[in-house]
Amino acid sequence: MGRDDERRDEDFSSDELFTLREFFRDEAQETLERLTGHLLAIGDAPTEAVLTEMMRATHTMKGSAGTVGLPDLVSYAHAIEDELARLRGGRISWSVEVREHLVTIFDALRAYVDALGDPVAKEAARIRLLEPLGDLTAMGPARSAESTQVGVAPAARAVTSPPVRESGPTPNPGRSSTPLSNPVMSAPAVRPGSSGHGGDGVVEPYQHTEDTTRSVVAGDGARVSDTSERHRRDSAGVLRVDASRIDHLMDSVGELVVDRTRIERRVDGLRALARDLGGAHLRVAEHLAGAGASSSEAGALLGAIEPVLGELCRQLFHTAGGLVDEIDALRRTTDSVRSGLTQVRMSSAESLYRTLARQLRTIARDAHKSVDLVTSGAETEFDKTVAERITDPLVQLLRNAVAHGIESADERLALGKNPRGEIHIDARQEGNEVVLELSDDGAGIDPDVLRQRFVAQGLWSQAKADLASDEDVLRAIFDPGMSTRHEADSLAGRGVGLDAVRETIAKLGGEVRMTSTPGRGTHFTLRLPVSTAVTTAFLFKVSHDVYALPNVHVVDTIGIERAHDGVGDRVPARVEHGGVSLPVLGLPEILQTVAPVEMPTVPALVVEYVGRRFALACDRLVGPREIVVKHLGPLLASLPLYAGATISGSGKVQLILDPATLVRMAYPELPAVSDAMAAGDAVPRRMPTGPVTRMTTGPAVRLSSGATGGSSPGRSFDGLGSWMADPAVSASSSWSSGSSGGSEDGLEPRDGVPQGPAMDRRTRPALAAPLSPSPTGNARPELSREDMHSVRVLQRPELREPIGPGARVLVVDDSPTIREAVANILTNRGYFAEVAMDGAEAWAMLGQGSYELVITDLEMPNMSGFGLLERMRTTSGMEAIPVIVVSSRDEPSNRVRAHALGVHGFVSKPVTPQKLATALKVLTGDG
Amino acid sequence: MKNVIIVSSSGARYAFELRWVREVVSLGHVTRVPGAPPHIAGVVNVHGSITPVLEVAAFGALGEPTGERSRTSGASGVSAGSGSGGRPGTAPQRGDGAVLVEVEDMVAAIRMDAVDEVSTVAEKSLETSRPGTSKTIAPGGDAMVRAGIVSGAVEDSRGRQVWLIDPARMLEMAKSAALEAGAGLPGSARGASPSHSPDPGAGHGAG
Repeated sequence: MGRDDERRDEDFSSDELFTLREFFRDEAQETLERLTGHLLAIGDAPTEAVLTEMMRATHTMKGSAGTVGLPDLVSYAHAIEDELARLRGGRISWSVEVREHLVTIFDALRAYVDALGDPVAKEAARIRLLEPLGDLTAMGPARSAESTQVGVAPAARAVTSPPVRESGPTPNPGRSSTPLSNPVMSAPAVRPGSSGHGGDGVVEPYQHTEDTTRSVVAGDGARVSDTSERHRRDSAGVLRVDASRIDHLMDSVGELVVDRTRIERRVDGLRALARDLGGAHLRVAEHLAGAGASSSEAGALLGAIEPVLGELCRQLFHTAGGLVDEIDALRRTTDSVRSGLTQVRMSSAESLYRTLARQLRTIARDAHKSVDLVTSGAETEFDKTVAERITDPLVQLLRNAVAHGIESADERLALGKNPRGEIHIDARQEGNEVVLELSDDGAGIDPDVLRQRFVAQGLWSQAKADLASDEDVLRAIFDPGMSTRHEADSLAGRGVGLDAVRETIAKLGGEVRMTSTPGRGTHFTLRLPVSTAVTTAFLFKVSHDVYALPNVHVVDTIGIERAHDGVGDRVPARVEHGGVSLPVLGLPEILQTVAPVEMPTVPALVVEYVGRRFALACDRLVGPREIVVKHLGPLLASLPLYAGATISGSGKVQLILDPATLVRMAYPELPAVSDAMAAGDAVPRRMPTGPVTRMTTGPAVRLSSGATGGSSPGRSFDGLGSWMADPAVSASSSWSSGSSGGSEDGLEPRDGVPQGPAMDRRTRPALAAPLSPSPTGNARPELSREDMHSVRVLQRPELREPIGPGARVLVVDDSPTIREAVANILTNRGYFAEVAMDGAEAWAMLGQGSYELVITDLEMPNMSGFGLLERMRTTSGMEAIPVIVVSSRDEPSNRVRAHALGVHGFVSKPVTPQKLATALKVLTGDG
Repeated sequence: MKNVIIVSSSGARYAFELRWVREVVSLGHVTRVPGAPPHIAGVVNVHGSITPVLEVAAFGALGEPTGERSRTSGASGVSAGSGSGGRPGTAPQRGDGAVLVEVEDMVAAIRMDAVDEVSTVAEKSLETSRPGTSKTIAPGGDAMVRAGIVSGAVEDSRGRQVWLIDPARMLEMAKSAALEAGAGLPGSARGASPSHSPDPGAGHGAG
């Protein structure tokens, strides 16, 4: 088993590497910008503090580069670090040339980092980089082959060669004999004519230094301004653009449409003029024909003008006709720009699935249940805004499913079900809508139980409960106040938050429905607009104004006969539609207008909103149109009648009515929305924040992204290890691809950890027994792996209990790449990782939450790892939390100091899954 | 010293600090917003975004919006001014000028008739320009001072006193009035009745 783990853990998967490199790219760009900033701020001479800070930043970048498998960058950073060290040590004196040189290098490095995903661009950037880098110490006194390190990593080897050993700033000359395993080479090797290393991958630098430098600076100047505009190109040539910029473009396109409409009207006017002129010409011609030969001077003049007039008429017609064609072309172009912009905002469901898998893992763990998430349709695209807003409602549904749908493993076994619960999510596009289906294989909801509850809680009368169909009962669960709060636990009461879920989905212009089969599970169907920006709306007129309603809610249009009563003609309060009596809402009344014409039949829309139908009487129907939805802005957002607005072709604002409000007008008996939604109203279109939301939105706390691990399908639930009060049971994820994606076993080798250490512990009572009750930890297994240079176990506080998968781990590192990498490794092994960006933040988090393990870097701003360790070791309640140090400062002095502070492991950077796994094993007792 | 734009509107003159003013625009079609508080005369399309239209005088006429429901409170603050902007029939319309003010994330178009001047002026204390001491006091002035919409006074190039309007306060008032107006409708949590009346519709709804 353990061997399997190790093999799997040897390296990051290519997917993980890809994600980590994205983090790295951002981190490196930021570091390089900061370094350049430092350089440019240096006046006569740099202070030692500045140089130290620059070295620290470079060093951090180096460690991150190693972790994400970019040895060439490691060597470049190493070379820069050395140069800075020489500056600090006074071996090179500061000069403007040195600064310019370093700026050039940093710029070239940025270009290189930018080009990482593109082999061709990367090679070009590398060539530009090597020249200044090769010259690094040309100006300095310490110019020698030994002290100059230039990284030249053959591209082909770069990925596969082992990470560079960090052996301190002094290179070992003997190393140069092993270039294949060590991409660090000495500078002369890259000089033309001295390519002694016969580098197939060694690229000769440009001869024309000045030209090269200039081109780098010029080319880079443009790129820098690009960066300052928050545009970043990632490996796939993807631009990351601020969403507001796209919104702004969308507004401009809207204006373009308005302008086009105005031109259209002018052209219409022009054509009318041409027609009039044509008529005039015709009359002239008829007059001339009737009068025979020109009998008068005026007649002769008219006869001379007539052909000119005719020609002008033809030309005017022709021009107007051409304009119409051109307007058509303009329309096609604006439509294409608009749909293109809509496409820009699209993202696939995959990242949503990632988030859900991660959340489900936490939820399932807290509920002590095993649940698999099976996803399909990950390639389905929808608006990023929709994806963002739908996340919280979906998490709420997951929470409900785990808390109340999926039974405990024992119950499931007794029912003949797989002890592991399963939640399926599928996404697909249907026309202008995305359909998300979420189902669990849990206990389902029994309508009769619900009836009893509603009656018992005084929400419904017995008569109403008896009359209501099962469908009505299930529908009512979405109503505010229908939650079963008295049973609610920390996760969710069945029904808690469903009103908010429905509200959020409805605000997006979507619908949610639920079906349930008692004993078999619950099924939610969510219909959402593909885009929140462009949607189909049904337009209608009330008085002189046009209003809109999301078309998804409009099921029919009807005419309502006015009823005659004592007072006069009026729109009846109810109308029959499809054999059902629907309440009628009169829009002229709601919108405070007077119906302009008293028609015998009033046009009306039949609107369905979360299963409730009503008729909406207006003055005139216009029909469905594609509209661009705009926000009303903060001043008007609180008006419940409107969901937004759109701008007509002629530039008029048209209001979009909110069906959520209308349905409450039609069904006043619907209870008030819960307190949670009241809070949501104050901040429109936001879900109330639950515990998990806080966790994800907190400034520092972030669960690592990427796949979640899983546990064994063959897990025993015999309560063997009762000491495992907090089993590492959680969701495995098979979200990766396709409708068949691992649905059979619910596991994928890459994501799952089917035979993880948790399993080991459970199936080994002999080990579990001595470990659990006794805090002495004498059963600590063989720990000494002193022969492994990457992990060393030092004397430390006694381990009170094994710390394995399921443990809450705080990861502290100032490098986002390392944080992400370590969190990923932990998550994949079943740990729960939270991150802090320096010692100070970690210290604050430690004071608030209980962590079972801390993994920390040493060199960090604000508070170093040592500072953190010292505080922890002298603080009651924290002194015994085990700590693993992850550092590139592998010097003996650091190890000795860490040793003195009682760390449980020392992992040298670059971090690999294997190194960390070895360190973690010490704590699980599996060493 | 303050950089201000001085505008005239419905017979009164107001000054706005330039730091709040994004631009001066000509209004397009003003769409009425039923259910909105009377502070908000409508919405208009400005460069493709939905922008509420406000009228300074309406704020004076309406007094403090935190009182009882706004539609009925209109009478309390109305003074005997000539051109009360809050009066029906003088609603902003297409072609009217407006000062586009921006405060934090809020943007609004404040209707006006004409731009009188843009200048750098000294601010005077409000005490020396209490209503009655100046000939150019807007209708509803007391209420506007009370509400904080008038934050001070300045002297224009001809030595006349002009009230300095605080757009931040104005927008804040409009926003809270909208919140309050929204609370009265069934779509809002606070406005909805918690009572559960017998349900005539459920049970035989859409089947």
